[in-house]
Amino acid sequence: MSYGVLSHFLAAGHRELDRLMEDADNACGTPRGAAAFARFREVMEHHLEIEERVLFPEFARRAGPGGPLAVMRQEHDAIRGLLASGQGDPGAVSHALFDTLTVLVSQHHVKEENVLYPMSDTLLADCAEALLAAMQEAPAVHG
Amino acid sequence: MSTRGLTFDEAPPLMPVLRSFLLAPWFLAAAGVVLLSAGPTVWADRYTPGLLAATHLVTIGFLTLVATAAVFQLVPVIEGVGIPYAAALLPVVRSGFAMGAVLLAAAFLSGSALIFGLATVPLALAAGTFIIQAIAVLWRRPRHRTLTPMAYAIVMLGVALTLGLIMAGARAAGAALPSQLSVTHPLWALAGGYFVLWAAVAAQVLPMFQGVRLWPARLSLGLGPLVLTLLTAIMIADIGTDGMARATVSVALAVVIVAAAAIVGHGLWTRTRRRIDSMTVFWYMGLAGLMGAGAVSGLLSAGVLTGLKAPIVCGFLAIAVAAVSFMNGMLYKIVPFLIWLHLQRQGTTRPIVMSSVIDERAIWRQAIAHALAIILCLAAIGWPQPLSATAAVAWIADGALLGINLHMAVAFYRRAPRADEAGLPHATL
Repeated sequence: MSYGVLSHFLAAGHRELDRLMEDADNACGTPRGAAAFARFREVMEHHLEIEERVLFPEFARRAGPGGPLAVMRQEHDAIRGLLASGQGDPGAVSHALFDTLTVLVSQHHVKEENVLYPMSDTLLADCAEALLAAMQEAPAVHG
Repeated sequence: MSTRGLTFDEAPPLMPVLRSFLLAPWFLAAAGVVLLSAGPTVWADRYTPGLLAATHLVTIGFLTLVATAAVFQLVPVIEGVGIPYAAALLPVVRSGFAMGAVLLAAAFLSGSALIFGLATVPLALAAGTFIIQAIAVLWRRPRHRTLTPMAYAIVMLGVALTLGLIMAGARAAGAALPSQLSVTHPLWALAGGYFVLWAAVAAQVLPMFQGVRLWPARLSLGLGPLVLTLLTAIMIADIGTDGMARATVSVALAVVIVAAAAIVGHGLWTRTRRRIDSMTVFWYMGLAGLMGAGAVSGLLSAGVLTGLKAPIVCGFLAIAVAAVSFMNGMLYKIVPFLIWLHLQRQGTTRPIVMSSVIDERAIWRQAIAHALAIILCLAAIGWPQPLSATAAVAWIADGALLGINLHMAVAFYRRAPRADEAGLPHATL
């Protein structure tokens, strides 16, 4: 397994999320706004889920107490809270919601890509293949 | 592998950072008051006492206060490692630069050797504290597209501050200094410090906030050494009084600046995110200023432009239009987000979004005021007699509106009801 496979897979997920978030922002207030938001939310929930269920437990086991996971989990909860506030009522998905989501999600991705993922590549090198397979096979989340 | 230190909660607490951001805009307003009281003659040349006082209120009071607090805040986000003792050092840095800016402005206006001497004390303390701490952290990190040029920018800003302190010290002692220092000092501050810092931050925040992909990482990594080399070459040419070499290297530096601004402008213009927010508008203003400053600087170096007004226009475009606009736009992203994130972590009892923190209409009002102030000041450089008072009042209004908007954000933070008053670790960005 080559070094950086976890980083590569998860960062590629971020680029897809960036694209979907931008698409949903552009579609906000148009007839396809609700569908674009639902698609972004579904992929985001899935990404958060695979990190928390597959990556974080193994990372915590190897790294021990402390480290970046506490803040990552808090930010996952904040992202979920914002996504939930835009669910249901189509009028709740506003540009104001996307302004907040964009900053929160973007700075969260920077932290993960600069610190958490490179650390994961090093700490979890011997089990990266298995973790990658588990993340790829994780069922999609339907909100 | 140790995860010690990589916790993301090493950012300084909210209020020390916000105090720097809250104080800074009032230095913009103070610069306007100085311009107003100095009258139309302030625009006669770039060395009038009023213009020097106003310039240093903006560069040290606004730009440096915002930049230092932003560096303390951004580094933990990017690398997960905070600047040690940030909570204790930020007040030292803030009060040192704030006091130094006021004393330096008073020294320029009064011409008092004693006040020049007094100004060097807090400025040296603040500059030394910030530069040593920031470099100690940044220089040890692996090469990074934002942190590496940021380290170079801080080093070059350090050179500019040192040259400034030498000049202030010489005025205090009544000693003569080479006149070339008055050109070298702002060049290192603006091209070395603020331009490279802007490029470093742009490579990080434009993809995040505007969906714009900029230059490859290797260009970011090469920018700091390139500008440092060009500035050093200019300094050597000055020492050797080689006018042709100086002009050639200065033009090359101007081309680098204009090219960087053009690339960012092209990225913003062709981005796929359709919506324009206040940061987009402030950054367009900043880019116009940066390209203009680079162009005027290149033409001055090549000898195409001459006279007393062109250097003022160049400095105004670089400082007031470019640097102030970029930081103004960033403040409207950073301050609401920090407040929003802290409230989230303290468990607000009702859902909020960032736009609740500062009224969107108030931000747009300030953006219009900023654009008007820029236009009026540029016009006042050409026609000081009829326009200098109006331009100064517009500049005061611009700074005051920014200050009021940021205070509104803090008032919102204080009013917001929390479920958990104790709060969680410090929010970062």
